Amino acid sequence: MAMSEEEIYAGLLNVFRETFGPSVTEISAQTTSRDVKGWDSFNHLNLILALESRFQVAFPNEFLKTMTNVGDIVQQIKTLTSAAR
Amino acid sequence: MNLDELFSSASPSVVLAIDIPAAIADDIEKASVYFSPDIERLSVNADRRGVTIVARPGADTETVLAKAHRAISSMVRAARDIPITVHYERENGKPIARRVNEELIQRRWMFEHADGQVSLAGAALKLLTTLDARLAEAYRAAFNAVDQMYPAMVSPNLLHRVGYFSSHPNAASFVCHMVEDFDELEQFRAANGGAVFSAPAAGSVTAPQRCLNPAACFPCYERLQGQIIDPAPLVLTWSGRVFRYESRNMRGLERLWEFNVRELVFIGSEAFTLAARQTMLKLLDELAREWDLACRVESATDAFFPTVYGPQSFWQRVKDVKYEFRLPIEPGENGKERTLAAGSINMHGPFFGEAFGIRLPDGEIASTACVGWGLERLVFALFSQHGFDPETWPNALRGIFS
Repeated sequence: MAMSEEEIYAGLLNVFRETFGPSVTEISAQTTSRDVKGWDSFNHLNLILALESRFQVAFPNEFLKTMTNVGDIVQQIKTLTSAAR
Repeated sequence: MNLDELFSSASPSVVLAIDIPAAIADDIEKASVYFSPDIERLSVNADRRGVTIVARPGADTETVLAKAHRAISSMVRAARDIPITVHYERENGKPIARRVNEELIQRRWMFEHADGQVSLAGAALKLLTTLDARLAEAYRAAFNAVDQMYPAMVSPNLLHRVGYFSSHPNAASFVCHMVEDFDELEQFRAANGGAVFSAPAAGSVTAPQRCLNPAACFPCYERLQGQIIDPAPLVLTWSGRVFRYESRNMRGLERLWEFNVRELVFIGSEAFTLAARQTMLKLLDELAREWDLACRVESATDAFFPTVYGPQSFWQRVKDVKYEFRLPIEPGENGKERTLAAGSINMHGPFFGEAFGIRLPDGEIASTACVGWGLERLVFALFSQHGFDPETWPNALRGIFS
């Protein structure tokens, strides 16, 4: 069974807080790097690695090149986790 | 000299076992000049299961290995194989000339003052000024670019603010001056009355007061600090002197410490900078035809310092923010085909706008992008591609020989 969006968002928020600090209190589908303090060129890879580790997925290159917001991440995790189960 | 003495004075060679992804092998070799002053040469082994290090005679190889291991591990960590995208390609079918630096020197069109520092004359100088003028003219016509001029020295605070010391500490060049102290100055003056230069004592010079500018566009953001760009967008162009310390990688016109850049900066909305990049690619095609230039534009990354190499180059690759203009030049010593990055388009997003409080009339933070041509590299590539016979040059550039 694929993860629900609620489960994914809860996991995402944890990863965001671990990566960017406790000041991240909420994220939504529209959240982008401009909205999160510390989500910069240096920390982007840390975020991706943390997400891959937390959700046990490997993001494809095409996704990494086109993702623009948290909504894209959620959809991709949903797709990858449902394909794996 | 007996055999023992000969052996101990030879350069020791050691192998560091570490798996190297193919995509970053060249970058590791290039970055290795900054790993340790005791490394003479470092090359990635053919099977990419390790690197061979030739250390300087007398070096502590354990220390050298440890430094190389720390640096390479940083670069390898989280390296991801993201394919390079080619955005433009043009061939000219011409054979590539060999020994271009040597030929330029022999014709007295180039003089090497020191590693990474050259002066030009004759057709080489005429070519550089012709290219620079043509680019400036094209930028005014295509983008309504406004001419600028900036100093060659910048404040260390400016470089700190744009994160330069975090990402490229190895390439920085600092400027200091003698302390304003009669006795120190007199001692230095007297010490230099003889035939040989005597460097000032450490305490006789100040801490670095300025840096030599390592990226042409930096000073323009400082100048626009706190401003609202109205009317927007704004496009600026100038020819700037740029300095990047490249250690043992410096070579001829290909890799200089001090060089000239024709710069173009876009300031406006993100959509404007993206459209400007597309226009620049069309303009590049026009210029490549005019100069009969073989050229490939491809996604690229900057030469980041090892400890930030992984994350920063990952960002540049996935966001496709850097396009390099790669021009074929003579093959390397191993006969491998080579291209030289003579220019680039760099998308900065809101980075500089945020750092310097540069806004658009609607209150949004301005996005920026820049295009830089390393003029000496462009000169080198054109001589590599067209040779030294005026008859083989395109009409638009043949005048440099007159």
